[in-house]
This record gives sequence, C-alpha cells and structure tokens, in this order.
Amino acid sequence: DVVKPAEKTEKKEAPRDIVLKGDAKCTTCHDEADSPELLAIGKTRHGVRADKRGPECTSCHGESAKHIAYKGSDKPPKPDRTFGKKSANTAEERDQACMSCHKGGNRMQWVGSQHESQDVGCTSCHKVHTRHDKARDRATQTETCFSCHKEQRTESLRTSHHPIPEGKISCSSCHNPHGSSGPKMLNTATVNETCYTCHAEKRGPFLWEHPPASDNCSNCHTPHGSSIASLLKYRQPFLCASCHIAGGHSTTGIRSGQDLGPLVTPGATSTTAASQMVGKACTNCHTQVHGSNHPSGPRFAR
Amino acid sequence: EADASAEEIKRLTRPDSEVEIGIGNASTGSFKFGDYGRGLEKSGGFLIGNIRMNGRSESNANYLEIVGRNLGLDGARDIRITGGEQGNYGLSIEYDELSKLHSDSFQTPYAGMGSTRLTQPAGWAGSIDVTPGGVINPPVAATIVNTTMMTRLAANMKRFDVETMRKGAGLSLTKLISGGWEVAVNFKREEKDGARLTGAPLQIGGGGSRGTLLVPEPINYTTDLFDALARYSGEKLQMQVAYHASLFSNANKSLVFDNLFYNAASTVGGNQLTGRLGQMPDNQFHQLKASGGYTLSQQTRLTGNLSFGRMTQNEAFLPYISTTGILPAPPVASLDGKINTTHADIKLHSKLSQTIKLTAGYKYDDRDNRTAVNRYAYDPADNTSAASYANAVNSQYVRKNSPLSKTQQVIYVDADFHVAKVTTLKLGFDYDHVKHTNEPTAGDKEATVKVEVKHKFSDIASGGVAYAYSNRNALDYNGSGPLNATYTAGYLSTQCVAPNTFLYNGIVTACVGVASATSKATFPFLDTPALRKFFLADRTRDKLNAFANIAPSEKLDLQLGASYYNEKYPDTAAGFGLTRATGWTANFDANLAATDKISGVFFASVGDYKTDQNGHNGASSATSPVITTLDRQNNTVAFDPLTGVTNRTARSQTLGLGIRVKPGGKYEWGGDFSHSTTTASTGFRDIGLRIAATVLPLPDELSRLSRLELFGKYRLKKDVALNMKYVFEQYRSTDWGYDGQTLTSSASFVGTGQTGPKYTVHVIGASLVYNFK
Repeated sequence: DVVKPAEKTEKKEAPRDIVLKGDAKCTTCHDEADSPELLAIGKTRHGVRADKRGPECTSCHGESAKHIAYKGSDKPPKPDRTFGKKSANTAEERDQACMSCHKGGNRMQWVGSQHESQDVGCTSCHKVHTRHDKARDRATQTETCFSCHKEQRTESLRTSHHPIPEGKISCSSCHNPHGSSGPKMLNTATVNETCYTCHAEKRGPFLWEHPPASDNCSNCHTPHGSSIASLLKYRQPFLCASCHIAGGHSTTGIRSGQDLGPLVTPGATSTTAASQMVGKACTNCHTQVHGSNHPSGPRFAR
Repeated sequence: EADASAEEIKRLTRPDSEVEIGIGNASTGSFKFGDYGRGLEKSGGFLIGNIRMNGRSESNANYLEIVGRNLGLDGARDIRITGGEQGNYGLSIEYDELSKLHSDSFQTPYAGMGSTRLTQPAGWAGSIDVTPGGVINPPVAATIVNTTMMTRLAANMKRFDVETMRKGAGLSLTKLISGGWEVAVNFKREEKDGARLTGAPLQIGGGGSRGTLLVPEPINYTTDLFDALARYSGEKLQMQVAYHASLFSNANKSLVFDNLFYNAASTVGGNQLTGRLGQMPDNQFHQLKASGGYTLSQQTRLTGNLSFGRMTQNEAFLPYISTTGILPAPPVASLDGKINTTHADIKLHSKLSQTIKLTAGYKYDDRDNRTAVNRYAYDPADNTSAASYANAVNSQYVRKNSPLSKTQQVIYVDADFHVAKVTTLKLGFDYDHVKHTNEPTAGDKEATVKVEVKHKFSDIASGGVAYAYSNRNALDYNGSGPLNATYTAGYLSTQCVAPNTFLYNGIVTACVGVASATSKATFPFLDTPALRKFFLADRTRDKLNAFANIAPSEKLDLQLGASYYNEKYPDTAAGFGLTRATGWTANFDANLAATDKISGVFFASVGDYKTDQNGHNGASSATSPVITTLDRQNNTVAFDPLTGVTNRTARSQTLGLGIRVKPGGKYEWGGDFSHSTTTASTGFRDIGLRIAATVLPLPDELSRLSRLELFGKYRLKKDVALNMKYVFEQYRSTDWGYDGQTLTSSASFVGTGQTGPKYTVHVIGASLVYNFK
C-alpha cells in the first residue's frame, strides 16, 4: 500500500536498540551524548547479541519501571539496581545480577566466601562497562586487589618477590577470589599443592624428606615478598637454627659477627669466616632443603 | 550528520584494536633491575612491541583476540590468541616467557659452568701451597686444604651469569554443550632452562671436615600440565568433575664437580676426587576432582569438594659416592615413592533471618605416604676412603628413610549478625586437628576464636576492628624419637653411657657408651631435648586488624589501616627454638579525583617485625669447665652460660605517589613514584657468660628501592598517538653474607665475588600507537 505523506510524518520511527537487545528503552536517554561510557558494554562479551545468553540492560539493572516512566525535569528515581559507590542496593542484591548467570565453575563457592561475607561484591572488583576489566588482566589485577590488601602491596615491593609487580603472575594465579575450600582462598586444597603448580620439581616424593618442606611451604617462605632472598621468612642461618641447634657444627647455634671473620667484624677473634654464615649460609652445603633423592642425602647435602 | 553519529556509535560500541611499536634505551645493565621478565638486564636499545587486537563479527558471535605484550623483550614477552564462537566453543593458544636473573657477578674457578660437569683449571692440584707466598710447598699427609692454599684461585675466577628462563606454551579448548554442560581441556608445557646456584660440598678431611663452594647447577626442566573438566551449571545445582595431571621431568640427573680442595697427601685425597650432586628427580602427580554446589532454598546453600591424588617418583638412584668399590649399591635401585592425597570438604551457608547469616563447614586433608622404608649405608659427602666412613651396622651413617604422612581435619563456624543497619558483628570459631607420622609430636589441636565489628558512622565514615586468638596444643613432644628411629639400635647404644637404657622400637636397649669428660648422656643424645620446632610446637597467636575509611568529599577517599600479630611459643620459651614472632603494620591511603581531568593517589605504610630465638653454643663444651652431654640434657647451671637469645628485627617503610592528568585535548600525562626501604637487624640478649665475649654485633642488612616513572601520550592523529616514557630506578642493598667477604675469607668456602646488588638505571622509550577497528 502507498503511504500518504501526511501519514508518514505522523508515524514516528520506534527507537532502535544500539547495543543490547531491548536497550532502546534505556539508550533513548542514555545515548552517545548522555552516557558514552555506558555504550562500551558493546565492546565486551556482554555486548555480543549473537550470543543468545547475552544480557539486556534490565537483566542487571532491573525493569526499573519508575525510572523509565519518569517525565520530570529533575533527576529521576534510580534504576532498580545500581552498582556505583552510592548504590542503595545491598551487596547481595548487586551480586545477584551477576550470579544469576555466573554461578558455576570457579564461583560455585561464592556464597559464604570470605569476600562475599565482607560485602565485597562482584562490582567491587569488576568493571562491566569496559573492554578492559583490570581485575581480569594479570598485568593490572593488583590495582584491584591491593586497594584493600595493603600489606601484600607493601610486601610485593620488597627485594624478593614473585613476579607480581612485573605482571607475569597475578593474585588469582594462586588465589580464587570467588571462594575456595583451600586455606587463604587458594586455588587448591593445600598450600603445597598450589606451590607445586609452578615448582613441580619440589614435589617429590623424595627419599629423604625435609619435614617442614613436606608439611607446608609457608613454614619457611612468605609468598608475597620478603627482604630475604628466595622469599624466606627469616634469614639463614637463623631460619635453620630455629630447628637445628644440636649436633656437629650447628652446635654453634648463636651465630654472630664473630662468624663473619675479622675482615667484616672488627675485634673478631676468629681468623676465618664461618662457611655457615657467608654466601648462602647453611645451604652452601645443605642445598637440597626441599628433599633429597640421593641415597647419601639424609643431610640434604647431596 | 547521520554518518557521523553512526561512526561515533561504532567507536563507542565496537571493540577496537591497538598496535604499539617503538624503541627504548636502558642506561645501565643490571640483573637485579632486569629480573623477572622485565627484559632489561643489559644496557642499550630495545624494541617496544605490544599488540591488542579484537576481531569480532558484526553478524555472528565469532571472535578472534590477540594480546601480545613486551614482544621485543627476552624473558618478558607473552602472547595469547583466542578465537571461537561465543556461546559455543573457544580455542586459545598462548606463549609466555619469564626470566629469573639470579646473579651477574657470580664467579668460580671451574671450567664447564652451565654443564653438568665442572672441572678444575689445569695445574690446580699442583698449585696447592700450604704456605703461600713463595715457592709451592705441597701439602703433607693429612693436611686439610683451605682456600688460602689455592694459589691459582684469584687468577682463575670466571664470571658466569646465573639465570633461568621459563618458556611456556599452552592450548585450551572449551565447548558448551546443551543442557547447561560445558567441557574444557587445557594443556601447558613449560620448559625451564638455565642455571641456579647450588652448593658443592666435598669431604676434605676426617669427620665433619668438608669444603664447599657455590656452583651453577644447570637447569633443564620440563613440566607438562594437563586438565580436562566437565562442568554443569543449573539453576540450583552446579558441579564440576576434573582430571589434573602434572608431569615433571629433568633432563639433568646429576652435577659432577672436581674437588678444588684436593690434597694428594690427605686421608681422603688418595685419588683425584669428584663430588656428585643429585638433581631433582622426575615426578608425576595425578588427581581426580569433583566439586559441587546446591541451593537448597533461597536462604541456604550447600557446597563441597572431593579429590583423590597420587604423587609418584621412581628415578634411578645414584651410587652412594662417586668413588667405586667402597660402598655397596643401595638396597633398592629406585625409591618407587608414592603419596596418596585425599581432600574432602563440605560447607553449609544459611541466611537464618534478615539479620543473621551462618556458615559452617568441615575439611579433611590426608597425605598418605606409601613409600617403602629401607636402610641406607651412606656417605654425607664424596670421598675416596673406606676408612672415613666405615658403614658398619653400628655406624652413624646407616639411616633409614622416614616417609611423612599427615592428616588434617578442620571444622569451622562463622556467624554474621547485622545488629543494626549500620553495624555488623561477626563471630567465628575454627578447630584444627592435625595428626602426623615420624615427627616429634603425633599431632596437635588448634582452636581459633574470631570477632569482628564493622560500623558505618555516617555517609562519609566507616570503620572496623577484628581480633582473632589461636591456641595450638601439640601432643607430647619427643624431639629425639623420630630422629633416633632413623638410626640403628647399635649406633644409638653408643650415644649414651652404661648402665642406662633406652627404648628402641619398644625394646629396652642398653647403652654401651663409656662415660668420659664430655660424654655422660643418659639416653642417646642426637638433639637438644628442649628444642621445639616452631611448626610443631605449642603456640598462641593474637591477631588484630583495624581500618577506617573516610570520604570527606566526592573527590577524596582516605583509608587508614593497622594490623598487629603476636605469636608466642610457650614451651619453647623454656627451651630452644623460635620463642616469639611479633609485628605490626600501619598504612595510609588517599585517592583524590580533583577534577574529571586530574586524579592522584598517595599511599604510605610502615611495618616492624621481630623474632626471638633461643639458642646455645654447645660447641663450647671443649673449653673449661667441660660441658657434658648430661649437662646439655638437664644441668641448667652448667649449660645456661652457653645460651642466649637471637633477636631479629625488620623495619620497612613504603610510600607511593601517582598522578594522572587528562586535559581532554590531544595529550595526557602522568607519573608514579614509589620508595621502599627495609632494614633488618640482628641483636642478642641474655647471652651466657661463657660465650658473651665471642657474640659480636652483626651489620644491618639494607634494601632500598626508589622508582620514578613519567609517561605522556600525545595524539598525533585521530588513530595515531605518540607514547613517551621515562623511568628512573635506583636500588641499594647490603648483605653481610657477601659484602666485605673475599674469595678466601672462609677457609672452607670459596668466595663467589658477589656483592649485594646496587644499580641506578634510566630508561627512556618512545613508541607509536595505532588504533583501529
């Protein structure tokens, strides 16, 4: 049928979706001029309309009928669910927007987890309307985590550290921030199992086991940073002397400047530095402290 | 205008891509600066190369993403390519490099560094001079060679860069299946090559006379990681089953090194001797895992995990010593080591009311070491003499292995009370029960109570405080029990004097030692009875955390925090070992968004950590009056003058400052500054009279890092920008383990020439960034 010119002008074109399915009711107002940053949802995986699982604006923000229907000239009522700093929604309500789709996999233990119980919600860490979510990029993730975990930030700047500041591994390389049954929200059930992921050579089983190493790597190491080489908690020989003070040369359980010899310690009566103090101290000889598989290795020197 | 609008919407809604290419220059080479994949260990120019490409179909869900970083830097580069159809399948391949730079100042006289065979320089043995300074005076019988006798040491020192490189390549596949199922397979192979520093000890005289030095141990590791999983996600039920394998192999089985302490005339130097260090054996870990969660009601959810794993290792044993014909072969050709691991946990979370939430759970972890136990007649370091270590039945060098097993069970309950709209109270209780074998205690029990209060004082201020107290009680501590069990009854009987007796495997065994001026032990004395190993001993722990967040305006956020912990080992306080560890930290953060265009951040933190450790100098028994093993066992009057406390303190200060300026025009710029200082001190107190004169102060250890980074971005065209970067970094450190020591400072340890790292580096970089759709 031929449409008459008068009818043409009367039929106003319906608003078209810009990014998400059904977003026209939002983007009519929140368009490129009003809220360009919101449209960046189109750059993300959420913005792939061909993926049938993809959300609509209201999937996360609620139907927000009052917000949409508001005709006044001042600020309209807030949408049903908002995620900003001043959101009136509880953390649980905000999380529900994400968990309605993302409740499986690594997030199975989210409910009742350390973060969830502290009201640290999904959007406390994740940014949704951006292509680059800092929390999901290992090079930038610490910006998110360190905003709360200040001690770990400080430790990561110490001379001995995992390559976290260098962006080669991230917090989530070891921890599952969405909840875990492991200690300290580790990705695996035990500390050692997590460490062995990258340090498999220390797993053994060894013929001669060093009990603290088999028990828990963190007996001797601190993972986030140390001023002592190899991320040790205490410096050798003092670390070793906390368990070994009897037998052979370790009977000298109180190591002092005397053991550095006269070149370093004025007044030292020893003519030579103790091999248990210089270089790598105890591990100058007992180098296999993670365990030895040498049949002559019960003292971890082989 | 419509076209312009469409273009603008496309710019805002379609993923863009970016390629960055440029050059940079580092003023100075430093291993410490270039460590961990920063790729800047050498001075001079380098290539800047980064790529972030996002290809996505406008008509379907197909995608291709490429992210590459630091492509011009060895040891730093990584690239990941991901593609597939979103909502259907995905494929990902990745490549990653990571360098670890240990030392660029390390030296030894060995030839062949980097290989598994280290040889001494030509003519070395003939240059050993017992009275250096003139003609060579070769050693005479039973002389123990020391470093000062090594006349060719300094001339033969050679520098070797001690570094490793990890190169990893991975492949991942994911596929969504209808009905909420998804399957995934991941494989990653990582190869680690290079060298690390290890000790190379050798027997150079009788008894405990050994010489050592640090040498580069060649690293040639391959680790394969394989995961296959299937997961289901439904409205109420989510679950996952997975198989995980980790296969480690080491191409190097041992490191062989010549004896630099070689003395043709000494007891152990009858023949040219080599030492042999066993390297990390191949091993495997296989694990089956299942996890799940079920939402019982809107208020209650149940989750749990179950896994069974097995660690195995069966590398062929090396011979006891390098010299053949002295000792028989080990009792078995390889360990056939097996450890079964089991983990199970269950957690129930329930929202009992609008104001009360409860979480309770149970965890079970078991490490069941099934490795066979055998006796090994060994030598602690290579030597050429059967006389040195006659491994008869009663020798101290006959030991059996003691596989460690451990079972840990934890129950916990946490309750959250919203006592008011602005106040939350949390209460928690954990009970941890550990049992283990072949340790001084059969296990321990630790109870922890936790309380936390958070309060929102106003719209702009909130704060909280949390406290936790733990008390670990170990079962009866028998320090000598598991150690003695590795020796033979015959040997142990010589370590105490008749007519005393001791229990060995439940059998009353007679001491056969003869009392002497120094030997009066009433039971086999191998370890100080009062010693308590810190990870097994009784312990109380207090932990306190407090924080305050203040937002005085829309533009400013302030955060203050403090933490404190105090660990005490009450049993150890009356004996030996770590008695106390305590520390505190305080931090202040400010985030300022001055305008839409200018933002800044400042942070500062300070911390202080202390440990006290009780020790003794039992070696002073050789002095008068004589200290006997009986004195060490129970005579405090005689033994206390040989004891004392070592106190270690570490103080740290860290601050940072950052600014970002985005005026909105063609340029933006910013900068970051950070400074971190740690000073560690060692002090002594309550030092016994008999050793006070020889306990001298140690120098402090210091590390100080300062870094300034400035960057700017200028948009040359709509899609082309110029990036400029300047980095200044300075590091200073002192370490008494190396600083001030010479090659011959220690008689039995050959110095390495290393010093605490120091550097000042300037880095500049300029790059062009091309942005495209």
